[in-house]
Amino acid sequence: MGDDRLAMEKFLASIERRAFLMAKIATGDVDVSLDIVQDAMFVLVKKYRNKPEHQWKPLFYRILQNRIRDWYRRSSVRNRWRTWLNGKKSDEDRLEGNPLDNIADPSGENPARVVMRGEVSKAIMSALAKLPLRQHQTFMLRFWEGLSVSETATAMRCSEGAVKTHSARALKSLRSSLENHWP
Amino acid sequence: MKNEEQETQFMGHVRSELDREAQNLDIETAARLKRIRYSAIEQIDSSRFKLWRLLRLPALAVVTGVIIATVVITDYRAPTIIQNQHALADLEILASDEQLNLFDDLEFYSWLAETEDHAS
Repeated sequence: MGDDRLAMEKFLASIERRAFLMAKIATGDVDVSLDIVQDAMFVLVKKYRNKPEHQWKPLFYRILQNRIRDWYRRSSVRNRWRTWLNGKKSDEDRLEGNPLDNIADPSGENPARVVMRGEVSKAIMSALAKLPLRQHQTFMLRFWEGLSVSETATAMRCSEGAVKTHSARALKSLRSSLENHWP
Repeated sequence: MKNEEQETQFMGHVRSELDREAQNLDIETAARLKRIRYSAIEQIDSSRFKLWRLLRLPALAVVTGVIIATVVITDYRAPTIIQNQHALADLEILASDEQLNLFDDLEFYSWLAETEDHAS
């Protein structure tokens, strides 16, 4: 009876910081990120705690990424309204394809300049935040969290081919953003 | 090959920076994350309690029903049979051609028959 409780607690403890950081880099807001992590944890415990333990990780990240995507959708609608009310055309409207693929960090800090200041960590965070959402998600899940291509595809609800494409693009973008620091 | 090596090295740098960032979260955020985790885990206990609360009433109803049924079956079936037997006897008396006075003195006639049997 207590074993599943213990296993779940151990699992959540092992992923909470990474999940928070993923959400924080994606949203740029601590409170929003904590809300997203809380949501993901609650849904996992409530709906999927009886699933086999090896499925928890992809399931958790699927919920987390869905929440992040939802937040992006909501904030992009808010931005659209704000832009419309201000009578200006947003940058987002000018981007082609899926808007979610092209959403970038609003801070607009140049990573190369940050690296020059020696703030490596900040440069990486900034470069990651500048990635389009899908590329950012793929990078975090595949290369940081270590999910397989198929697990990442499950978590992101897309094909394995799309995961590979997003991974390659993310890597290319990151390397070019951080080339001043690591060639 | 060199490119692959560079890529692996680059990935290693990024990964270690991210790991460091995750480890060095400020105390307040780490504490909030811990609280979130605990409250998520508490759901397991509360859902078990909720299930028990949900099942408690039907379970009590079933147990009560079984007890009532047992009492009704054991206590009331036997008298019913006896009552039925009495009713049959009454019917027999009413249906017979004998005078009802005979049945009033039935005990006397039974005694008389027994005495005659002993005498013979």
